[in-house]
Amino acid sequence: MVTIAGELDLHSSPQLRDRVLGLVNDGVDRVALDMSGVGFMDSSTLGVLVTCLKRLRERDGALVLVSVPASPMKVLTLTGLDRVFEVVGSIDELPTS
Amino acid sequence: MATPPVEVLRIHIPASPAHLRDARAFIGAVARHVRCPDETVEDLRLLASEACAQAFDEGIAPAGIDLRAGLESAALVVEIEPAARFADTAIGDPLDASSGERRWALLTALFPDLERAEVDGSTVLRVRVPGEGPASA
Repeated sequence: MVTIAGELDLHSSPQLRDRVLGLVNDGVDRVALDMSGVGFMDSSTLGVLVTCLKRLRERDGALVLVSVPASPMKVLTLTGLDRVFEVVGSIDELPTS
Repeated sequence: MATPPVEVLRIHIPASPAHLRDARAFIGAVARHVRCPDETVEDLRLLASEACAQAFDEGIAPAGIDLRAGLESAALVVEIEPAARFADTAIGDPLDASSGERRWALLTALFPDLERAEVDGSTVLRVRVPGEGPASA
């Protein structure tokens, strides 16, 4: 589980990419992002999330978005990515396998 | 179309993504001041951030970006200049969309009446949203 907070944009989202891809490079193949503390997210961040998802899928892994607030969820929905990412409402809903 | 609104507030941000937060803060503060609904405030913050980010990505704003906001006939008018031209195509596979396609899809979904105007060789992005005006003291 990676917890992210604050505002995610073209300036800050590369830190998220580096963190997740660092985990992937360390052999992690299932990553959950706790987004409950994200107050703002733009489409630059979507690009980062897509990059991370593709990398994980190459390893038969998964990326799950947890507790996505309304504003970031709207960004996902309007770009059609809500149908691509696995989104769960809370940590309790994370897949067990 | 690109007539400047009256009582305009302005901010100029340098050509660096580090200042996207400043653009959002400015637009958000003005929108709250004229009592836009919370969802509209968030949509305008997204507009400012996406428009500036695309301009940085396309390298069209080496001298920075002007953001202007003001009341015009009970509407909040926001202008961003210079604005990128964007990839004016619909998103096919969401996973393979370019950043420009995602940004344009977002902005046109949030603001169907979004205008792009050419003014003195510069592209201006302009949007009008209902505003009640400043809150009384």
